[in-house]
Amino acid sequence: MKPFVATTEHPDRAISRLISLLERGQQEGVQRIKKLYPHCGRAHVIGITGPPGSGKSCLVSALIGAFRARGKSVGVLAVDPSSPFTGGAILGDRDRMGAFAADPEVFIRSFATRGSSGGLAAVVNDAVDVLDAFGKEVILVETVGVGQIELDIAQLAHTVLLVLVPGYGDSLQAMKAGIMEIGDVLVMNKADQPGADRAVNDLCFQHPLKFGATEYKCSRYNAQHWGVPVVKTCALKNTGLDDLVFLASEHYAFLQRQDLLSEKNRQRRKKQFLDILSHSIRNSFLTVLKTDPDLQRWTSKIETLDIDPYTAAEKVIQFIQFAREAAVNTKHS
Amino acid sequence: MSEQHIKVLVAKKKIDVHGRGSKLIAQELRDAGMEVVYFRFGTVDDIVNAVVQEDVDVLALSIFTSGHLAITQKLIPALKARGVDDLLLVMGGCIPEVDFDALRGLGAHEVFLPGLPGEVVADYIKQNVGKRSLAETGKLAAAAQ
Ligand SMILES: Nc1nc2c(ncn2[C@@H]2O[C@H](COP(=O)(O)OP(=O)(O)O)[C@@H](O)[C@H]2O)c(=O)[nH]1
Ligand SMILES: [Mg+2]
Repeated sequence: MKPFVATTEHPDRAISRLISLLERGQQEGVQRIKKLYPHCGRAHVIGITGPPGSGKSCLVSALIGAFRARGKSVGVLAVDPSSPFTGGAILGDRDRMGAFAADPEVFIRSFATRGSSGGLAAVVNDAVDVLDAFGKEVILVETVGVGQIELDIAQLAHTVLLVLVPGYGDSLQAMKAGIMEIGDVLVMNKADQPGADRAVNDLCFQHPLKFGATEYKCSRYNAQHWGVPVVKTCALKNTGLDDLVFLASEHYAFLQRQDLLSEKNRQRRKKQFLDILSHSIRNSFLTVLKTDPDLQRWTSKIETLDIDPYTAAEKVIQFIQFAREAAVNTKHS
Repeated sequence: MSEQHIKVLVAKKKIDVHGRGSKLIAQELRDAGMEVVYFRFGTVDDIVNAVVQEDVDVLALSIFTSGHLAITQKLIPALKARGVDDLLLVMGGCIPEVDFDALRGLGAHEVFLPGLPGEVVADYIKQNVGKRSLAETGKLAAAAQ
């Protein structure tokens, strides 16, 4: 399938506008993205996560360069946290990634998390599809690996690079349990700093493994029986980048070989569909709730504990079930 | 949802050593509830590219050394050439007051003196975001010539 081509606008502007529409939850965005799905499914989506300050943005910058040198077009989605108090945010990732303005094959967009109810995971999901449809071959998604939203976002990637630094032990403790398990490649960045080799050794619980012709140190096997390699990088001096790009591509090839890629994509679509569905049901139900006198009578009964909320919910589900059966019966009669 | 989240590009010249001023304004706008993309640019194209890709509502250009007139003169046509017209453009840093009118004539919507309390800029942005366009300033610039 060919990439989608915007005819009316500069492609970057078209991509950017569409992402904004989706970010604001506007119907026009939904109508437009519907047309893009036939063009989706070719990009390699790579998540980059790890503690703040580990050098993720610098690494993304180096990765953009490395993928461009291999002729791949690149899209970047960079997420930084919003302040829970003011809702404001400083999005500083782009600044570290500079220097690609003259290259039309690089598109970078920053996002604020907007709190757990802000629906950012859904927006990033959509933005990945938009970039994919517009023909970006590699999509890098940078998140700070701390909260649930970031984990959700990391999980929509095919390959997750977990970025650590020497002395990472302390920073890891500040992160959620289970964070280590999401990395398909462990990256020891700031390898120019003392203690890098020891930190790498501390992560390696397996014998080294061969990827292609090269042997890499290995952390452990994950649930898909992929041996998680550990690679040293220095984002500022561009060292280790060839290894990193090679290992990311090896992981993608592994997913394809084992038929895990289509499975991953299926899982992502299923989850996306359920999220969209529950979101729409919730929204339309809340709209009805505001206007429907019968439902309001119900809620006031719940509020006064004349009926308990569980029973009330069961009754609503029963009601929907009846309506569905009635609809099926009229269609068949 | 959209109106609560004003997105601003705070752009500062890479060679300007005075990073403090632009970092401070970025923080003040964040504290006023805005989403601030902080960005150091080398060329006018860097700014245009960031404005287009981030789709910001506001461009806050911070300039400490000279060059504010030349940059603004190039910037606005370059933005329009990429289809950007619904942008609020404010400037600040260390710009001599005698140049304020010239900058407004070129298309800046407002220019701020250094050392103003952050709320002044934030309030101006909140009152004017979405209401000003570059097209309107273009006419002004044309009339000024
Ligand atoms: N010494 C060293 N510093 C680095 C390296 N990579 C990034 N940094 C520095 O680490 C800091 C944080 O980098 P950044 O990419 O913003 O980290 P992020 O928060 O993980 O995105 C910056 O000051 C970088 O200059 C590296 O490989 N070596
Ligand atoms: Mg970062």
